[in-house]
Amino acid sequence: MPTIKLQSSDGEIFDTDVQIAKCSGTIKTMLEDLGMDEGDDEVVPLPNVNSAILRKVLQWATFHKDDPIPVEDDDSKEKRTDDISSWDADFLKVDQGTLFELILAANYLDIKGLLDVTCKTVANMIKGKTPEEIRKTFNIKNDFTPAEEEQVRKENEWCEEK
Amino acid sequence: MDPPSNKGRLPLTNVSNNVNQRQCKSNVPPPHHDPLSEELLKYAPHGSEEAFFMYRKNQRKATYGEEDLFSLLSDEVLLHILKWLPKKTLLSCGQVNRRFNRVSKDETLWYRLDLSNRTLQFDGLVEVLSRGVIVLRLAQTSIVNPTPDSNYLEFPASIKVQYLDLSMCTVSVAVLGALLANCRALVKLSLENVPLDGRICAEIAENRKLEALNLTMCSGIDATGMRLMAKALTRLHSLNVSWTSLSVEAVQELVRNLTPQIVHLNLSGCRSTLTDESKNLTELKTLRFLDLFGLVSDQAIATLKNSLVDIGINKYYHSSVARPTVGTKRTSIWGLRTRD
Repeated sequence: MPTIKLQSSDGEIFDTDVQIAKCSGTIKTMLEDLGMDEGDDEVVPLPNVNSAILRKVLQWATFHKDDPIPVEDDDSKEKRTDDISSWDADFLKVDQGTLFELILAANYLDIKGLLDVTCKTVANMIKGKTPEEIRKTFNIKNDFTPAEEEQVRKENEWCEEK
Repeated sequence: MDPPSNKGRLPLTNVSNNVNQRQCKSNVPPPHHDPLSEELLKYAPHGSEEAFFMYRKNQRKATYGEEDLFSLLSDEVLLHILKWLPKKTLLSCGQVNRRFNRVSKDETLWYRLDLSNRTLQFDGLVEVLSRGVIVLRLAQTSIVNPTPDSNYLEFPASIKVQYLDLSMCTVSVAVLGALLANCRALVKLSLENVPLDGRICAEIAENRKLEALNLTMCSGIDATGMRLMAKALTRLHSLNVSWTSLSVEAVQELVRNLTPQIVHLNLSGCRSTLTDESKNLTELKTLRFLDLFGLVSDQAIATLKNSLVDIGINKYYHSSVARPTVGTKRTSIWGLRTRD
């Protein structure tokens, strides 16, 4: 099977199956646009992804290599976050820092499936929480002035059940 | 008709896409002549620039657990997370901090909304509409009248809503008139069992893109209002004006001016004679279904059936002409979802 070499930001080289590497839109475009042929011994540098994260990304891509090509967001489809497979859920049992690094990597490498499932995982961590609970969960600083806070409270608390 | 789509709406048109400054710092090396970095380089472990940046990267990693990880993400990615959240949590997100507030209002997140069976403050209605909702269900919602103050009856200048279901909504004529005065993009509208007046009819008539209009059981439609609507709404394919106590003149105005494009028409229960006008209905070339329950005698129906051979008359006892929520889908309006 043809392979290519991916280089992480900290210099580690990953010999990767081309088909698996191409689940990244960024790498796929790079290979096609730059006319890098399989068999060339060239190295694809990925300066925004460190080796720990790249290893995780490639692990995910290997497991999902036979997934159908994800379609563009279909507006008519329901947005669900309870459809994360048990393999993905286990795979994403990581600390918050790693989870966010995976989001950054999925976004940079343009891997829609991984971006969706990591973003859904964060969404599930937010779901049902109050503003203060959301801040606590993610160490977010409240930068509203008291007047602004009163204003946004009004803006966002207009709907009561009958 | 093409289903509406969120596609044409560009995300983040109201928010910047700049990543946080800290991320820029860690990814982009400062220019060589920067005196501060030259100064700092002196303190780098081996004096080399490469080692300096390695050092800085490690330091960022060491602060996990204390820093706000969202600051690493661009607004675009934050939006990608928020789009999976239910509306209630989205409103909580709006109160987290300034950035969450800004991104949580992105109009791609507010395409469809179901606020049926609730009590909605006037300010709430204004807030919802200013977020650019396109498909809005307010069936059986009570809209609380505003207290007379500076913002009294002030709606956003241009309301984007295209599919609006106000069936059996409790809303005053003043609020409804002010609301419709700023709506010009409506494609389908239901005001079932809501009191109207002449001004409201005139404002409805200004929504030239209307394809379906459900006014069943509405009061307050007079001959002038009916003429305005029938004349102006040339794209209408479904009209339901059943049980609206239309006057003879109003029915005449309707039949004389209604667009020849009409396919479904429900005139049931309008207690006036239509027989003289029935010949005008033959000119509605595209009309396929006509409901006239309780309107004309059985004899007259037979006459109509002879002159309107291609049209199904009184085919359905429970007419669904232009009504938003029919059949088994309990929260969709005109086949469009209102919940995420």
